[in-house]
Formats: sequence, structure tokens, C-alpha cells
Amino acid sequence: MIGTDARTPGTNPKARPAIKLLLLEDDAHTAAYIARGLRELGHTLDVCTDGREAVFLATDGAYEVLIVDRMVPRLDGLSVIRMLRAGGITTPALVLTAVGGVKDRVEGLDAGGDDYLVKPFAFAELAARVNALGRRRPLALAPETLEVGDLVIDPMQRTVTRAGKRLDLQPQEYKLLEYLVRHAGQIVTRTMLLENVWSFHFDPRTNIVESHISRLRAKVDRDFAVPLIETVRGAGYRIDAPR
Amino acid sequence: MRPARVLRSAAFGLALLYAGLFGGSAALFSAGFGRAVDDYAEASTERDLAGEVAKVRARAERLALPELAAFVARRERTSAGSHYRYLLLGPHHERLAGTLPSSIARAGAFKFELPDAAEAEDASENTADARSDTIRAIGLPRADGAILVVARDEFAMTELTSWVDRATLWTGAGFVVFALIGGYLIAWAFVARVERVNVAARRIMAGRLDERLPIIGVGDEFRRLSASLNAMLDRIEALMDGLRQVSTDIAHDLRTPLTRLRHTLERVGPETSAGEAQEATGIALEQLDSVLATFAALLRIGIIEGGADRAGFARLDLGETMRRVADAYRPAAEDAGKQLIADLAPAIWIDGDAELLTQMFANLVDNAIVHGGDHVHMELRTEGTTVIASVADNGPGIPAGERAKVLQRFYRLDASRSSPGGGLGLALVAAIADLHGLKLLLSDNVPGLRIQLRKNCSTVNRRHERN
Repeated sequence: MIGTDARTPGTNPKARPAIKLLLLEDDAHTAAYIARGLRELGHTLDVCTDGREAVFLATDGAYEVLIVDRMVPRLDGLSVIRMLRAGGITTPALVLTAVGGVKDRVEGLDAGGDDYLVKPFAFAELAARVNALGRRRPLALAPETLEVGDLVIDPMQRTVTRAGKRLDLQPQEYKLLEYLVRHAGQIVTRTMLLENVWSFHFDPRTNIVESHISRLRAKVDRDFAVPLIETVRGAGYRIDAPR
Repeated sequence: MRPARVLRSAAFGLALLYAGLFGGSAALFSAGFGRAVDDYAEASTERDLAGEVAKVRARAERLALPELAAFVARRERTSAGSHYRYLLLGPHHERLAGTLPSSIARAGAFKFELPDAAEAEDASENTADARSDTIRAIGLPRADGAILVVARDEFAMTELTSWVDRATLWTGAGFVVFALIGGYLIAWAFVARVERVNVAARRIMAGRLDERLPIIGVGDEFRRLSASLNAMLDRIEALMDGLRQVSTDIAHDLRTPLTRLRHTLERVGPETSAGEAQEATGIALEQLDSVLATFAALLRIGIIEGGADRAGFARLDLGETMRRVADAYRPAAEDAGKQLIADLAPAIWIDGDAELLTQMFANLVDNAIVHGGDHVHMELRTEGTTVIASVADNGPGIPAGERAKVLQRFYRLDASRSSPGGGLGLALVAAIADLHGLKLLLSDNVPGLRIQLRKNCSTVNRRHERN
């Protein structure tokens, strides 16, 4: 979950789309850290330091992702999100906080946040989640099938084929693959997988994700020429069409 | 104890209230009694007067004035002791007999006040009360213009009523004094007991948390109050012990990894190569993450022990929760060379927090995988109304003597001191189990460790599947 590199290695800033971000964070040090890292990845970032300013800017500018710290002056982060949602702004919001209890996370999501990250976090974690939020496909436009290279998933039937050959996956393997494919081309961290595939909001001592990924690889990649599932050292996993 | 405290106490106030109520009713009673006596006096005097008038009426009408005067004078002398008074006035208002003042003469029934000066003749009989008397009189006019007035004073009755009044006053005063003294004593006894509780409470607050309050043994409600307060103190003591424990743990056991971290970073200097510096940074980050994870776990345990999370409880299928954990861990268990088997009874519902329970079982399975052995067994079954969930391995197990201590934070068997994990896993399990009312039992799996969680559910809901 927490990698040894501050920057996500193996990524080409030009290859990933730049996301327009608004960061609400009043601690100058943290704001600088986040801003520098995200700009190095090619994203554009505006920073504001109090809640009222954030509401004003987010209502006005066309941001694609909001990064919102809970503890800010004048209007706290959750109230900012609530206000924006009430005003019809659906920009995805990632909530940052030092408070990490179950109740607090639920509170953050209930207020209209889309993801929740507890400080301190690895930068790779933040980058991956921002990316996931910024490239979310609206459900209404969800295609009937999900495709990565020659891998095809039919979410309605829950069937998976690769190069036309039907793959037989266990329920957990399917869930894992579907999540990877919905974030195709993006890095998903171990934490994101634990939270979204297994609803584990803690870090197990045993690396269960790695074991499941290896099982998945055995079915999806082993008998095929080109592997689709990639381990990004220090960050997470990614499925991508071969270039 | 200072009198002021007793006087201000509720007990004394109540005593005063009762005294006041009784005093009030006593005053009412005495007023009524006095009134009744007055009425009796009036009626009695009127009766006596009528009787006397009846006796003298015949002569008053028939006798000639001089004989009548002599008769009246004689009568007055002989009836001096019985308080009858007379007045005989001639046709020209001349006094012919009697000692009443002439001014009062009139026909019919009437009454008037007579000051004490007129009583001077009967000084020997009068007691020393300096009041004016009420005199009741009946005037008998004659055809020749003379008038005879027969009168009676209410002296005897007045004496009676004044005596009654005095008696009431004295007993009333006596009662009030008695009530005040008695009330003061009772209040004093009560305040003394309450004061003992106050003193004990202050001592406890000053730091003697192991003390408990003495029972105020005055009545059932106070006994219950003392018992409740002591139960509260039990809870506070437990919480404070928990807090103290956390501080000790943090001070003692986090210092080691932080020291290690410092050593790692210390070694990086101007002489270090870039590669070595990179490596050191990597190690330092790992160590730091481990410390942060420990902090987070400690905080978690603290919050759970505080009981706050109970608010988010919902009905859940315990077997389903355990199954999800088993499925998630099975591949990892196999990769570690172990078989993970789950025997989970269906449709066992309890109230709880799915996330916490998941974390708890995950912790137990984590531990089982890390221990030696090749087999991890998860089980869920019922025995009567008891629900039993267990995770067992066939590793080295825990010696009987250490099983209780193993649940403490940071406790590690000497054998596992070197392996990573922070030693908080079982402490977290214990905290979550306690929050859910699950009894935690460690036993020998022969071989290995079996951890059981038991709960007595009188309402074990077994929803049968619909066919």
C-alpha cells in the first residue's frame, strides 16, 4: 500500500490524460507535496485554502476532480461537498482526512464524497485514486461489453472470453478482473482492490491480493501470447491492451 | 459538622415544612375550638340570663318601686359571686338600686362593654386580668316608666377561652420547638451520611480510583443511588486503566521501531552513495509505515473499547461474513502451503458491525496462516442457544500459561518476537469481540491453537429457507 517511490514509476505523463484538479488544503506543506506530485504527472491543479473559496471555485470552474481536506477554515470539507451537491455539482470528490474511523468514512461518503483517503498516504495511492475518479465512465454511457485488447467481458452475463475462448472464473476472480478492466490503463492500488472487491477497509497482514492476482493471471494470461495484467512495482496493478 | 450545613439541608427544610403544616393545622384547630368555646359562652350566658330574668320578672312587674328597689339590692348582694348585675331606674331616670351605670339602661336584650373600674367592688374575686368585660343584659320596662335591667358578664367564659388560648399557644410553641430540634437531629443524621459520600467522592476524584462510595443506608432509593454511582466508578476505572495501558504501550513498545528508524536515517551522511541513500530511505519508509499502522491500530482499539461503534450495529448473517473472509484468504493460505477449510452453518443472525467482524476474523485467519502447521479451520455452529464461531490451526499453539496475556496489547510470545506484526492483532480481536458481547476463548487444538467466540443468543434467528 505504501510504496517506496514518491512518483509512480513506469508512467509516461504524456500517455495519460491530464486531469483538471482543485485541491482544498490549508496546510501549506501538504498542499505543496500534493501539488508538486500531481503536476509532475501532467495534471493541472489549483489550490485553495478555505472552504468558502472552494465552493466558489468549484461552482464556477470546470474541474474534473476535487480533492478536499476535511479540516479547513471557514467551511469544513464535508460541508463544501454537501453544498456543491445541493447546487447540482457532480464533480467527483476525493476526501482527505487525518480521521479514519468507520463512522468518519461513512460520513464522508454520505456527504457526497466519492472516495476517502486517510492521512498519511502514499503518493501513489493518491495518484491512482485521482486517476480513477477522473476517468470514471458515466454509467449511462456504459458500453454493453468491456474490452481490453482481445479480452471481452459481458457484465450482464458475467462471462469472460479472450481471443474468443471462454474463460472459467471463480466469483472473486471475476470481480477482480471486472474492476481492473473498468479501470483499464490506470493503476489500481492494493488498497483500492481490497476496498472495492472484498470490502476490506483494513490492511491484512497476508497479501491476499497478490494471491488472487496470480490465480487470475493463470487463467487470463498464462495460455496467451501477450500478458494483459501488469504489476507496477511500488504502486499496484494495471490491465492494459498491449501497445 | 457545621450547623449551617444542616440548616441548609433538604432534610431540615422538609422537617420545617412538616412543622409548618402541622403548626398551621394546629392553629386552625385552635381557632375553631376557640370559636366553638365563644359560641358556647354566648349561648350559655344568654341561657343563664334568661333564667334569671324569668325569676325576677314577676316581681319586677308587680312590686311597687320601693319594694322592688329593696329586692334588687338584696338580690345583687346575694348573687355577687355569680356575676349577675342589676339596675333599677325610676321613672325620672333616678338610680333606685343596682351597680350598673345608668347610661346603659334600655329595653329588650342588648350587650355592652364595661371597663374594669366598675369591677373594683369585686376585686377579691377578680383575677388580675386587665380587660373590659362583655355584659349581656335584658331590660324590663314597667308601665310606670321605671326600668329594671338584669345583666350577666361573660367573665367565667372569657376566662375559659383565654385559658384555652394560652394553652394552645404554649403547646403550639412547644411543638414548634420540638419539631425544630427533632428536625435538626434527623437532618443532621442524614446530612452526615451524605457528607460521608461526598468526602469519599472527593477522595476518589483526587486519584484514589479504586475506592467506592459508602452506601447511604437511609432508604431503598438511596441504596440504589449508591449502587449506580459505584457502577459508574467501575466503568470509569476500567476506562482509565485502558487509557493508562495505551500510554504505557505507546511509550514502551513504539520506542523500539522508532529508534530503529532513527538508526537507519542516522547512517545516511555525506559519505553515503546515492544507491545506499535510496535503500536507506526505502527501509526508513517501511519502518515508518509500520509505526503508523501500529498507531492506527491502537487508536482503533481505543475507539472500539470506548463502545462508540455500537451505534452502527445492524442485523447480519455471521456465516456469510466468515465465508467472505475464508474465500478472500484461501488462495493466500494455499500459497503458504496451508489448507483453509470453512464449515459454516447458514442463517445465523446477530447484531453487529460487518466491517469490524470482518476485520476480526481476518485477523484470526492472518494469525493462523502465520503460525506453523498446514491447516486452518474456520467453523460456525450452534449448541442450543449458544453460537460458536472458531478459527483453529495446527501450529505450535500457545502454552496454557500465556493464553490470557496474549490478548494484551503488544504482548508477544518470545517465539514470535522477531516476526513482524506489531503484536496488536489479538488485542484488536479481543476489543471487537467484547464490543459484540462475544466471549473469547483460547484453547489447545491438540495440536495448535483454537480460538472460539461464543455468544448466548436467546433469539438465535434461524430463518429457514423457503422451498
